[in-house]
Amino acid sequence: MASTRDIRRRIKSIGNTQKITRAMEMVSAAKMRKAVAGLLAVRPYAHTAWSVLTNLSRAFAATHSGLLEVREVKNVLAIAITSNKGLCGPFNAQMIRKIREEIRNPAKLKINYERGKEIRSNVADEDLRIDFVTIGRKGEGHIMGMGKKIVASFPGLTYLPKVEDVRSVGKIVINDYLAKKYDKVVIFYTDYISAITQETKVRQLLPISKIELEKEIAEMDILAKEYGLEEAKLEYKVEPEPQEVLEYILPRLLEMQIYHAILESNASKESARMMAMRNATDAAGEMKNDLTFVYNQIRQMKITQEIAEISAGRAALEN
Amino acid sequence: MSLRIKFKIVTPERTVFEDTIDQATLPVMDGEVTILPNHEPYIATLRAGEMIVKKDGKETSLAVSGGFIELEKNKLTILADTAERAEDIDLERAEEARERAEELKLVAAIKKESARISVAMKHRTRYGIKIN
Repeated sequence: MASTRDIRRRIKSIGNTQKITRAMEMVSAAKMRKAVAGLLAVRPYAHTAWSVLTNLSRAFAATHSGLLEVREVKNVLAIAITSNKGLCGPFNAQMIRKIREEIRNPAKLKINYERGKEIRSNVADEDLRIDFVTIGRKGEGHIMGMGKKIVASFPGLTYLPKVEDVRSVGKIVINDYLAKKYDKVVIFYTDYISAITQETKVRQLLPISKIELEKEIAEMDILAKEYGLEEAKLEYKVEPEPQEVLEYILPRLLEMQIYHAILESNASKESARMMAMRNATDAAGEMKNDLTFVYNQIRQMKITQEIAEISAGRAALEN
Repeated sequence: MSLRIKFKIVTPERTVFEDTIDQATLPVMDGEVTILPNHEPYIATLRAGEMIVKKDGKETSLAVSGGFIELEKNKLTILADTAERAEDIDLERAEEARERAEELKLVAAIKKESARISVAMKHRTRYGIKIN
């Protein structure tokens, strides 16, 4: 049987761990609140950007911007958002599993839509090239382990980035797409649904598709959903030219999407960490109770034994 | 009550400024535009520069670094890449940033920082803050 001293030592060390996990839980809760506030702040921007875009929809159909060009999918660029540090529950594992699934079965990645028509790729699954841009260090090793190339890595972007910081990611994506290095750009991120539910998602960034954008903004912006996105529009005077304005807006929309995805992932990561740490704190508490129980049992047994010995000694003397 | 414009500047990060105003002067691509109440619906792109907003004879000036605007029925929304109120700009830092941008020959960044500096300078001279 373990000695009382060993048990006492263990209780103490578990108590210390519990203090750490409880502190981490509280830090994550605070960070999560900030990230969620950031998410809410994107909404007015997204809403207005969308309304401008709807107003330019006639121009949308006529524009031949490189960012709208739809090609057969041969090369894919994927942006993957993971965390820099661990101890955040299933957050990274889920993301990596999702990436692995998509690589193994890239049927969806291989289709591009042009005005509702599918353009299927004739490239075999094994020959489809998928390169990665990583945000967050945790995913890098796994992606390299899957035999995929990482063309750029942004480990500094994971906690509350500025839009300006995201611009460099946007630039890489846009330049490579315009240079026809890639035929499709997707982003892997974790959607923050609530503090307890998060979902890994893949979203198409390029070619810019109106349907995809509409879906995203409707999800992001409840107002847009309520008022309906396609309300009757006024005749706008557009300067300089609708086309030019559109070309000006598109990269910004792309940046906003990336920014938004990072914020979503951020909020998800912090809430995943918060939950993981709360579980750890609870588990530590339970363990402490169990050990205290065992410790008391041993202590009582010892006392009983001592009393028995004393009374036995006395009985021997009296006789 | 006279007509007013509902005015809002948003960046992806936050809503910088929101108010009902009398008029706004904006740096658009081909020059400058002043928006008064009952202006026709209007969409335009912005360049880096100074934006002046007037309300009850009081002017507020802001530095923007590009973006676009949407105006509908006396509701003006500005989607800026970055926007700052004059009093929030740190002049020394802005100057440093411009020097850095000049060294690296970043045209967009030079324009942005120059706009910030001129807005901040104007604000300081107007409110009698000494510029060293």
